[in-house]
Amino acid sequence: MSELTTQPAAPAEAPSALPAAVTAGITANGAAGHAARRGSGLRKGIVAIVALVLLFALPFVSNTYVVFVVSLTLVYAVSTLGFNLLVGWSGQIGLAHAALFAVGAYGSSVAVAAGVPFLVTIPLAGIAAALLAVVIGFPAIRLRGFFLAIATLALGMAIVELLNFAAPITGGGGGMNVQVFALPGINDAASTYFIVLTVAAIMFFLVRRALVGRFGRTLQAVRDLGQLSGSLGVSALRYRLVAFALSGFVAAVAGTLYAQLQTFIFPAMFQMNLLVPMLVMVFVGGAGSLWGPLIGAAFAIVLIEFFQDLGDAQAIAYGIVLMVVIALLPGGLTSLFRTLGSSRFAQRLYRRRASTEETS
Amino acid sequence: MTATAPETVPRHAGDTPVVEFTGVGKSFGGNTVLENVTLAVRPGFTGLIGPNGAGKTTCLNVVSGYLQPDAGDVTLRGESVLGLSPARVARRGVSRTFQTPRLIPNLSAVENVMVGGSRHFRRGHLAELLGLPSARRDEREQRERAYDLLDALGLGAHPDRPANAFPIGSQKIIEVARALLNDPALLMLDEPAAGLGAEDVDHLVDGLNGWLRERPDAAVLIIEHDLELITRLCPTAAVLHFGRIIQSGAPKDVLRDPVVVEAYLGADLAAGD
Repeated sequence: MSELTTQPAAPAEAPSALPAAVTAGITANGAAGHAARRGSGLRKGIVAIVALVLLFALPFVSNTYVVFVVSLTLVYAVSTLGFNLLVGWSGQIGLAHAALFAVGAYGSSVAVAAGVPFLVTIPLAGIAAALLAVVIGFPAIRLRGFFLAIATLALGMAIVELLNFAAPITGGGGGMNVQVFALPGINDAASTYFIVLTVAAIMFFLVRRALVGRFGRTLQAVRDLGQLSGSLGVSALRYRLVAFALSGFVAAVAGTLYAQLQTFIFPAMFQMNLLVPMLVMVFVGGAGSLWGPLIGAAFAIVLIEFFQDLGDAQAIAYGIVLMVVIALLPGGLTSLFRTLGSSRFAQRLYRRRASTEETS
Repeated sequence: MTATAPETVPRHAGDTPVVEFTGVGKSFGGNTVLENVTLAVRPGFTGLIGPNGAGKTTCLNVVSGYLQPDAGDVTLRGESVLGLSPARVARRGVSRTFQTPRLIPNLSAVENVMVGGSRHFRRGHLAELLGLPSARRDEREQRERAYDLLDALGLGAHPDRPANAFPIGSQKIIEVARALLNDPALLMLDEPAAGLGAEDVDHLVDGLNGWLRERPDAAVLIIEHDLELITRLCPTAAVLHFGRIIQSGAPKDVLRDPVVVEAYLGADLAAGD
């Protein structure tokens, strides 16, 4: 009897059955969590607040086009925040994100049309999508890798298809107009922008707080150790399900804002041509990083300008970008900054600066 | 996802077994891996030795809930653990390490250790999200304990380095610290000394001895091929061969037993040595 006989006995689940390149992308993201917490916390807080104040001033100093583009970037950043939590932090390639985003957009718009105040629909749509994500996640958390991806993709597509069928409420394939909420005394574009910015700031604050502490550590344990995390007293399935719920909540919150921004929504907006750029945002920003979603969304906005005239070929173009990014930059742009920061060239710069400070 | 109160087990000092295997059997397909294994693990160190493939790791997997035996029972302080999920077994106070260290590569050493203390966080994730003082205190206390454990095991120098920056031997020690943060009634170590330098082994032994001194009612079950280490640490050792306990007692006597010598020698010859 050789070692082979005990092999099936060992809980030998591979850390995760994700495609190798994807796992590389996730693990290549260095100590994002603890680096964010260590040292200079106060300085980072001040930088964040100053940046926020400057962003609030934007509508006063620039035109509506810029305001729209920044709003859209923020909406995608929030959506990616949720997607990154699922894909990057919990290690599950769940592909129903565009559909849950649509649930937020439609849920809010339909509720507003029925007389519910828009601001109330933000958390409501989030909770509805979180419940739906739990329903999707319940079978999905037992699947890994490609099987998980296919199952969630199918469920997501079914949801978008349902929006077509529910024509009496949603307007079907022809789409529906969105009643835009405006803060009293402010024009529509600026008002939407202020709401988007406020909600984005709150979501980033909350998600960041959840991820730098015990919850984030446990999610990473579930991602990297799979069922072996059970021996640490952690129920992997439960955390995977919670990751689904949270990402669904965040997706739908972003969706409500998206509807306000687009003012007209139709089901075809939420198919592959949205899902693939959403994946691009996660991986370009850096799966499993904290600020990656912001960078990924900004990058995607540039791509959207680029690919505008491609029509149906857009999804293909995004797919190619996604493959290139995963191949060349497995940790995303945030890892690129870190790599540059620790490169020999940068180290020499630091040393030179330090030595000139000493001599002067 | 609320905070679950630690499922503490009443602790008896003295010599009552922490874990008992009674007639445990397990087979995969036609292969019998464990056969009528009866073993009492008492407080202090116990060695589990035997040739490759004897079923040692399978024993650990049966206790920690990853495998359900076909026959027999396994009890922790008198209560059966069969049918419990690995997470529930761990929350009852069973910790373990793995032959190849399984850490979260990009978390720091100390944060890896903190992952092992999940049952000692009194407050849930919602309190953490809201930044309640009690949740912060939990975090701070566990962090302190994690630093202390790394210190005690000789890894106090760079506790904030990412885990994947450590050599394999140190990673195994981080894993031991993570297991200890659970404050286990039973600690199971799967070949802890493999890949460790002599100095690391000394740190590990000192750390474990120190920990056991403070918890005289806890048990440590060690699977190890380094028989010298077993002789040094364990007052008793059991020998597993083809899934059966063929001998147990003081390591010195056990290792002189002709049946045990035969088992090891036979295995070595079969392996081509």
